[in-house]
Amino acid sequence: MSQQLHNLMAAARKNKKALFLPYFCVGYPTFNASLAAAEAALEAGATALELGVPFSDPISDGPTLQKATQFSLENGTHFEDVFRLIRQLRMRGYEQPLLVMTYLNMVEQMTWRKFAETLEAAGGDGAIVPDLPLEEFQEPKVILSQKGLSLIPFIAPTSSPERVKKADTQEAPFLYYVSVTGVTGARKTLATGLLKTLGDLRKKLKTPIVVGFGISNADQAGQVGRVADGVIIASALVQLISKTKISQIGKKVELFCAQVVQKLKHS
Amino acid sequence: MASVPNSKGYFGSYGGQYVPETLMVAHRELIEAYEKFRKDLKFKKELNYYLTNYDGRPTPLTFAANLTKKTKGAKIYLKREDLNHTGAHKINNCLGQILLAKRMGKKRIIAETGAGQHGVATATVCALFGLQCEVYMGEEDVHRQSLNVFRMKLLGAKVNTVTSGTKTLKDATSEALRDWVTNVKTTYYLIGSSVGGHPYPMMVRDFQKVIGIEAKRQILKAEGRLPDALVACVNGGSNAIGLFYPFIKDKKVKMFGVEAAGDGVNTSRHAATMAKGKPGILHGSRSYLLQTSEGQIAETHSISAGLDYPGVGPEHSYLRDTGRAVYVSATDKEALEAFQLLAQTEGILPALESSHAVFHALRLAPKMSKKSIIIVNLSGRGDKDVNTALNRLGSKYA
Repeated sequence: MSQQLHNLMAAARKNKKALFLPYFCVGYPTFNASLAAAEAALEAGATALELGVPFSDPISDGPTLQKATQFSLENGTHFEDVFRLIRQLRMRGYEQPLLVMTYLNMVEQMTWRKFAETLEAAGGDGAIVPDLPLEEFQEPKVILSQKGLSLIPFIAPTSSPERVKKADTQEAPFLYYVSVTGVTGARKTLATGLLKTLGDLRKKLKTPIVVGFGISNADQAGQVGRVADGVIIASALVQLISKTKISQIGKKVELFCAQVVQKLKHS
Repeated sequence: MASVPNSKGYFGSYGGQYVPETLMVAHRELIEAYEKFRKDLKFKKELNYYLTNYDGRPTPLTFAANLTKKTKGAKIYLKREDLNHTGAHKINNCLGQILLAKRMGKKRIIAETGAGQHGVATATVCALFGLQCEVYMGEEDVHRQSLNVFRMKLLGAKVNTVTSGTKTLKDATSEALRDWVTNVKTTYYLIGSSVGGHPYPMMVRDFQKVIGIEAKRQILKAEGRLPDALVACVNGGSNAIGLFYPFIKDKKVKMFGVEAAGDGVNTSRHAATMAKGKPGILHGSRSYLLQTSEGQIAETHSISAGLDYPGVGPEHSYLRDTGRAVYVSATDKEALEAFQLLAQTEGILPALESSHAVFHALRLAPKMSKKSIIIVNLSGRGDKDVNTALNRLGSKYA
C-alpha cells in the first residue's frame, strides 16, 4: 500500500480534518490541459488526485464524465497517457499521492502485474476500479501492495453491513463511499440522510472514509467534510473545465480547488 | 464436465459478477429469489401455464423437406421459435423473469434491446402483468427498427433513445445498468440475453432451455434418435444456449454457434466475437469481447441489429474453450441468401439473425450423409426485417 496516502488519511481521521481529492479525466480536453488542471489542483492544496483513464463503456458514470471521457478517447488518449501524466507531475516536483481511476477491462488487458509495475515506475500510489467487486479484491490487492500501491474498495448506500465490514478489513488507506444511489454527476443537493449515515459509519469503521459522487461545490464539500475524512469532486470540475477556455483552465481549477480546501479547513 | 456455473457464477474462468458496489445487493437479492423460486412448484406451474396458454408452447419442430431435397444431404429440421408470441424466443425468458420480478415485489421493469425483439417481449409481459416498463435502445437501432419502437410504445412502454458511444446495443445495456444503479430499490432489470453479472447468464439459460428440452423430445419422436448437429445463431447467445444446454451431455451431438461476420471477419465491419475477440470484462462478466489491444470495446457491424453486440455469453466462451461447441460465422450476404432461400423453399421468412444459422446448415448439410439430422434454431421470424431486406434486395425483385 501507499504509506504516504495511508499516513495522510490516518491523520485526517485523527485530526477530524477532511482532505480533498479532486478527479481529472486524462486527456480532457487535451493532455496538456489535463496536466495543467492537475497541477493547479495540487497548487491549491489538494491532498491527492484521482486521474481517470477514459474507457469506451463507463457504466458508473453520468453524462458529464461520459462526454468528457468519450471526447478524450476520440482525441486519441491511450492508457499510457495516465502514466505519462503521473511522470510529468513527479518531474515537476509534486509529491502528493496520485491514484488511477480505471475500469477493470483496461487493467485486465494489460494484466495486474504489468499495471502495478508501470504505475510504480511512473510514481503513482494506487488504483480505483469501480467494477472490481470486493469478491475479486484479494489477488490484485496483493499484486499492487508488493509494489507499494493501494487498491481502494467501494462502499455504497446499498452495501450490506457484512460488505461494509469486509471493505473495512482490506487495510486500504480509505474506503470510497458512493454518496448517492446512482451514477457520477453534480447534483444540486446532497443525498438525504447522507450526513447522518456518514457520521454513523465513521464511528463504526477503522478505515477512513472518502466521499464521492454528487458533491458539486465548496459548500457541499464543507458539509460532507464535517462527517467524512475526505471528499472527491469529479463532475463539477469536469463541467467547469468544459466551460473554460483552454488557456484559463489552470487558473479556474486553482480557484475552485482553493475554495474547497478553505471550506474543508474551516469545517 | 462439472455443472456450471459454480456458486460464484463462473463457467470455467468466464462469468462472475463484475458490477459496481451499488448493484451487488441487487444481484444478491436476485440470486436468493431465483434459488427460492426455481424449485418452487407454484412458480413452475405458473410459468408453464403462460408458456402454454399465452406464448403458444411447445413450438413445432418442422422437417424442412424442400430445403433438405435441395441441399442433398442431412435432414434439416427447424425448431420454430419464430412461432412464439411476439415472434421470437425472447418471450420465454421474459415470462420467467417477469414472474420472478412480480414475486420480488418490483413495480418497475427496465430492459435493453438491440433489434427490438427483447424490448417488445418485455413490453408485452409488462402489459400482461400491469408493470411499468422502460426500454433502452441505441439511436442507430431506433432508426433501423422503427416498427419495433412503435410496437413497444403501443404496448405501453417508454422507449429511451441512447445517444452515447456507438448508439447500439452495448450502449443501451450500459444505460440500462446506469438506470438500475440509480433506481435499484424499486426496479427490476430484465436482461434479454445470456450475458450480465451472475445470476443472469444462468437464469436466462434456464428460462430458454425449454427450447432444447422440447427439441430433444420432438426429434426422438420423429426420428427415434438424437440429432447429429445443432445450429443456432450466437451473439449474447440466449437462443443458442437454450437449444444446446439440454444436449451438452449427449457428446455425439455436435453444436455450432453462428456469429455475424458482417462484411467478413477479415474486414473491420463484423460482430464475430469468438473469431476475433479476446477474453475481457464488460457489463458484469468475463467473456470473449471484441476490443482493442488496450481494452477499449470495439465497434461492431451486422445486418441484423440482434447480432450487433461486441460480447458473447460467458457459457458460450466456456463451451468454446472446452471444445464442446464450435463457433463459426456467416456474412451479411450469406445471411440474406439463406433468408431468401428459406422463404422460397419452405414458405418461412426467418429473422435475419436466424438466417445466419440457416446459412450454416446449408453449408453443413451437403457434407453429411442423408441419414444425418441437423436441427436449426429458427430463433425468430423475419417480419421485422422486411424493410432491411427491401433496401438490400428490392431491385432484385422489382
